[in-house]
Amino acid sequence: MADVRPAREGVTMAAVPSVRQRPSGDTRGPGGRGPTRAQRRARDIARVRRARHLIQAGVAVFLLVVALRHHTGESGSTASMDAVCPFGGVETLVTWATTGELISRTHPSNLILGLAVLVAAVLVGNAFCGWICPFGAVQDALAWLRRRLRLPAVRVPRRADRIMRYGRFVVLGVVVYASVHTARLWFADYDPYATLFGLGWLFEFDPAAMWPALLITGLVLAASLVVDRFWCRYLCPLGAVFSLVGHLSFLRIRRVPSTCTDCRLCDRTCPVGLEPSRARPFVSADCIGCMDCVTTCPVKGALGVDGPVLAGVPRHRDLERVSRIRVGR
Amino acid sequence: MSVSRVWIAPIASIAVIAGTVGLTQANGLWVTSGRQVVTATAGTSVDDLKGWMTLQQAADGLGMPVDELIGLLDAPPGVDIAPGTALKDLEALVPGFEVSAFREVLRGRLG
Repeated sequence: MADVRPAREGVTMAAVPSVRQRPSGDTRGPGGRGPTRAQRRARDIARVRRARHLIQAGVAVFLLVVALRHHTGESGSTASMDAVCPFGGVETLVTWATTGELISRTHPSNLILGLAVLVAAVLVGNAFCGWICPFGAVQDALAWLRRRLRLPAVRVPRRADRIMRYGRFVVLGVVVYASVHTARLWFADYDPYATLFGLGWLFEFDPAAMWPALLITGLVLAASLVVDRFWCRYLCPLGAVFSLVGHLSFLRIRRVPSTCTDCRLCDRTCPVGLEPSRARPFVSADCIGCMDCVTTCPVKGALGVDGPVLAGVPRHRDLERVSRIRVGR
Repeated sequence: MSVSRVWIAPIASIAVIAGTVGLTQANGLWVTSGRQVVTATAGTSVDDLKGWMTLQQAADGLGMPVDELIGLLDAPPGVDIAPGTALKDLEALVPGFEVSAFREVLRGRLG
């Protein structure tokens, strides 16, 4: 079923010279001095990735502090992890819209955060998953660990991958239905994100009550060790919402076929297994906005962030003309 | 100085989220808890009692002395229950205590 491929980062970085190297025949800066184009690209890749990981780590630490304060502070005096989850806004949205009430364990903060991340996704595309989501950070850390341990990555066959991606919509449907009918934060008892960052496993460990959440979390983390961003690709219900909203984003990653050399470096670097090299012209709405594909692209103007895009309609219909404008870097 | 377009989405996303949270905090719309201010004049009913409420808050809301409320708990001898104890924390102090059952006791007491 699944086959094994070399680690993602290894492939990408092998194709990009280190800034300390000076390969012969490469294009140098003005006057033959300064870094070559490939070295500048390597530097850009590292810079964007470093910034992304710093932000992810910062958000993860912030949420852990929130959970820690909630468990150790005076009873009920500090916000819980549930209160600062944007997906809580999605879970309570139907009940709020139809009755004016919120389901239990959700608060106005959930609606506000949910609305904010969706507005941001429409305005500039989904960067939440790639840059902010702490559970995405955990999965990225597991992928890093796998590379460090030189474990093989599992590549899900394309057809199976395409079918399994609908799992996010199934989870979303089940969660919204159960939330409306139970009038409580039903998914919190199964959500690996809430399980991991809520710290209930540390402060209120109750195997009899928590075993479904612990089991799901363990399975998801194990799967994420061998398949990059397993949860994001196949199960995340918030990702399903972003996937729908992504079609309306004003800013999207765009490929210019007339400029693209089909080297497919962008495909190899995508953590959620998308194929920007096949984009016609926009990258899939499943994109998590990590920008690895854009920074890795070796051909100027072949892949970049384009906008404003109105409802998926390219701003410039003449693709040949687009190749001459500044796209991306 | 031009900013590369790869930074637009993450920076704008963070700005939108942080800005929204900041604005709603400034307007008092940012609420992260179901807790409300409980005062003696607020007129809390038995059904309004929540696990996060302390015994003092519950007594104030119901308009009864806190010592009387503590007496209704039927706590084992030797267990000292402070007025600042949250109802949900009583489960560890009073065997068999449940907020829902305590509501019934209070209903019987208050008529």
